[in-house]
Amino acid sequence: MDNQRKAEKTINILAVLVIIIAAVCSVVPLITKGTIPEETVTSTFGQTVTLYGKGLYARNSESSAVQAIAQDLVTLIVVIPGMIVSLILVYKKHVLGRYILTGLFGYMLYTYMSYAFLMFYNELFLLYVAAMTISFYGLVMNICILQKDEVVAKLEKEMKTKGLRVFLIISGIAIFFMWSGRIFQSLLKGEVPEGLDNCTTLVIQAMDLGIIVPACFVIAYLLKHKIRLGYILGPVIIVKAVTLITAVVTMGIFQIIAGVEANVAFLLVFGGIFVVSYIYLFLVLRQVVRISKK
Amino acid sequence: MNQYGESIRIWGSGIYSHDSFFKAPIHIGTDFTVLFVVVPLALYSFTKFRKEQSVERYIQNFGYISLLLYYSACLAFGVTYNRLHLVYILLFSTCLFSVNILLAFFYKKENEENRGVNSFFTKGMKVFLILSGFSLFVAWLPDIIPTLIKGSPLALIEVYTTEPTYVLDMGIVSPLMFITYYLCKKEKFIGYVLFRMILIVCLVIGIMLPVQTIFQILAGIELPIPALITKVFIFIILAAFAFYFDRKLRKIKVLG
Repeated sequence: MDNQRKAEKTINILAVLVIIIAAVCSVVPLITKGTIPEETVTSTFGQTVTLYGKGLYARNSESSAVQAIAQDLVTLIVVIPGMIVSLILVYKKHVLGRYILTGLFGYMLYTYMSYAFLMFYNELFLLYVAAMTISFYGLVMNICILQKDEVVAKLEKEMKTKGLRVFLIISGIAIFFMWSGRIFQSLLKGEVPEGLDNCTTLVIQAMDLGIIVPACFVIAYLLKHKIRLGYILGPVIIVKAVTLITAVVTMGIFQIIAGVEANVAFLLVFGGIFVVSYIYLFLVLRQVVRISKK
Repeated sequence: MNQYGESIRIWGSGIYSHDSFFKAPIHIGTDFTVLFVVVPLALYSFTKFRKEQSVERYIQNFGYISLLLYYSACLAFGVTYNRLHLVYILLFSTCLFSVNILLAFFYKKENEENRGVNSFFTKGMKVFLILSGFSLFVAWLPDIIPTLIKGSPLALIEVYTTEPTYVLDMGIVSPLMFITYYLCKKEKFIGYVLFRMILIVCLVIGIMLPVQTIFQILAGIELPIPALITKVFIFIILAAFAFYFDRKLRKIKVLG
C-alpha cells in the first residue's frame, strides 16, 4: 500500500473515532439529570453566577451550559451526519468529500478544544481531549492530502476568489471588533468582562481572536496571491464557518428560549455571518464541482 | 470559596492576583525562565539567522517559537483572566502562525528538494521519544483516574475551570512525540525537524520545572516527594538526555 492510501485509511479511522466520541459527548449531557446543591456561586472576581445545576454541565453557568447543549445538538444532528456523508463521498471519490470532511474536522477541533479548556472539569474530560487530538491530526493529514490533489491545481488556475476574500475579511473584522471591543470596554472601566461568569478566562475569545480572525486574513492573503494552500483552506473554512455559525445561532436561540439574557449585537453579527456563509458555502462548493469536472 | 465549597487561598497581588496561591508561583517561575532563558536564546538564534540562513538556524528558531507557543497557550487558556489577556492572545496567535509558516517551509523543502536524513535515529533516541510520550501520561493520569472513579473534582482544581496543561500535554505534545517517532523511523526530514524541536522544548522544560518548584518553595508551599518525582525529576532526566541528543544531532548533515 502506498503512503497516500495509508494516510487516507488512517484519516477514515480517525473520522470514525471522532464520530463515536462526539456522539457520546453530545448525548451524555442530554440524558444526565443529577443535580448539585448549589444554585449560585461567587466567582473569583466576586460576582454571583447562576449555575445550570443539573446534568453534566451542572457546574457551568446557566448561560454557558445552555450554549453547550445547543452546540451538542448541532454536533449530533448536523455535524455527525455530515461527517458520515462526507466519508461516503470520499469513498465514492467525489471531489467535495475531502473538502467537507476537512472542514468538519475543523469544526470538531474548535468545538472540543473549547470544551477541553472551557467546560467545568467533568467525567468526559478525557473524551474532549481525545476528540480534540484526533480532529487536530485528522485536519492536518487531510490538508497534506489535499496539497497533492489535482483538483486543487485546477482550482489554483480557475477559481474566482474575490467574493470569498471579501467575506473572509469582513467576517474577520466583525469578529475582531466584537470580541476585542468587549475586552477593551472592560479594561477601560476596570470591570470583569461580560460572559466570563465563573470560568477561569475568556477561552472562546482567545480562540477566535488568536486563531479564527488571523486565519480569515491569512487565507484571504493566500487566495489573493494564488498560493495553493489558500485553495485548500478557503473552501474548508467555509464548511467550518457554516457549521460553527449554525451552532452559535442555535446557542442564541436556546438562550432566548431558556430566558437567559442574550447579547443582541452578538446575535446580529453572527446572524449576518450565518446567512452570508450559507450563500458562500453554496457558491464555493458549486465552483469546486464545476472546475473539477473540466 | 471555590465552586466545590472548598476554601482556597488566593495569591492576591500583581498580575496573578486572582490566581491560586499554589498556581501563581508556578506562573511566576515560568515567566522567569522564559525571560532569562528562552528570550535570550531565541534572540541569539534570531540574530544569527539574519547572518546565516541555514536549515540549522531555521530548526533552532522553530524550536524556540514552538516553546513560546506552548507558553502562550498556557497563558491564554490557563491563567485567570487579567489585564494582559489580549497580549497573551497576541503572543499565542503570532507563535501559532509562525510555527505553521515554518512547518510549511520544512514541508516544502522535504517535498521539492527531496530532502531526507539518513540513519540518525539511534536506539537511544527511539527510547527517549517513547518514554517522553508516555511520561506525560504518567505525570497526569494519576491525577485524573481517581476523579473518574470517585466522581470527584481534580485535587488541584482550586479556582480553575479545568487544567489546560493536561489538555496540551496529553492532547497535542504526547501524540506529537509518537508521530515524530514514526516519521523519524521513516527517515523523513520533517520527522528530524520535529524531533529537534521536541529536544529544545524538553531541554527548556527541564530548566523550567525546578525554577517553578523553587518559586513554590519560596512562597512556602510544601510539595510531597512523590509529586516531585513524577512531575519534576522525570522531566529533569529527560532534559539531560535531550541535551545530549541535541548536541549529537547538530553534527548530522541533512541531505538535500
